[in-house]
Amino acid sequence: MQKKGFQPDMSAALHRSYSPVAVLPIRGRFDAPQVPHVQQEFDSLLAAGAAFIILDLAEVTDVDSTALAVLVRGMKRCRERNGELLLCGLPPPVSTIFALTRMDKAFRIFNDEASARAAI
Amino acid sequence: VGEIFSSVLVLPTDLERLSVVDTQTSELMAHAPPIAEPESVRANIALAVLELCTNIVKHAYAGERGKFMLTLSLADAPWRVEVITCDHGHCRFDASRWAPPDMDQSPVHGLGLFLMQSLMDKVIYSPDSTCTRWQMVKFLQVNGCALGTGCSFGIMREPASALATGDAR
Repeated sequence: MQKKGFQPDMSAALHRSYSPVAVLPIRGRFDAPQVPHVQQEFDSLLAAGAAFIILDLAEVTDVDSTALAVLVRGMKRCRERNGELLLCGLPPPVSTIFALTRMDKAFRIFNDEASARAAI
Repeated sequence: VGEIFSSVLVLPTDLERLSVVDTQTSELMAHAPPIAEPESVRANIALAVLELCTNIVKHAYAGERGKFMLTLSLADAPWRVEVITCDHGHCRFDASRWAPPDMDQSPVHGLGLFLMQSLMDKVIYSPDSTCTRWQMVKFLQVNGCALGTGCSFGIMREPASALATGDAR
C-alpha cells in the first residue's frame, strides 16, 4: 500500500481584461477543482459587458470533462449575447481531448490570441 | 506472470484531493516496459482514472462526505493497467438508463464516462452488496511485440458506445 502526500495544484492563475472582447488566460490544470475559479472569472467578464471571450489555453497542462462542460456552457452564454467563445493556443495533449470529444468542431480554435482577435 | 506493481489508495470525497491520481499513475507507469508514446498513454490513463474518481465524488456521493478505494495495478500476460474503485455512495449509477452523449451536440453531461470508454479498453460497472465497483483496463502495446508472436501482449478495445455491465466479454 502506498500513499502520497497531497499537493494541490492551484496554478490556474487567471487574469482579466474588461472590454467587449476579453481575454482569459488559464494556466496549469484545468479540471474539476479549478473549474469554479474559471467560472467565476467568466461570469465577471460577462457581467462587465464582454460578449467575445478568448480563452487562452497555451499554458494548460490538463483538461477534463468538467472543464469541457463549462466551456460548452460558456459558449452558449456568449452566443446569447451575440458573441462567441474562442479558444487559442491548445497544447497537443489538450488538442487530443478536444478532438476525441469533437469539441474541436464546436469551437473556433486558433494558434494564438492575435489570430483569434483578427477573426472577430 | 501476474501483478507487477500495485497501489491502493483510500481517497476522501474531495475533488481537490484527486490530483494524487496523476502522480500515482506516473509511478505505476514507471514500472511498465517500454511502450509506444508512453507519455500519451500515461496521460490518457490518468485522465480516465480522474474522470472515474470525479464521477464518484460528484455523483455517487453527491456532496456527502465519505471515502472510497482506488486500486491501480500493472500486470503482465498481457501487459495492462487495471483500475478498480469501490465506493459506498448512496447514488448508484443506473446503467439501464444511461445513453452515450451525442458528441455532435456539444453535450455537457456524460462526458466523463464517454472519456473513460474512449481512453480505456474496458470499462466495467459491477455494483454488488459490498460496494459499487468500477473496473477499467488498458492494454499496453509493448515495444518489439506484436499480436500472435508469443509476446505477452495484446490490444483489445470495447466499442465507445458500449457500457459494460458485469464482464463485457
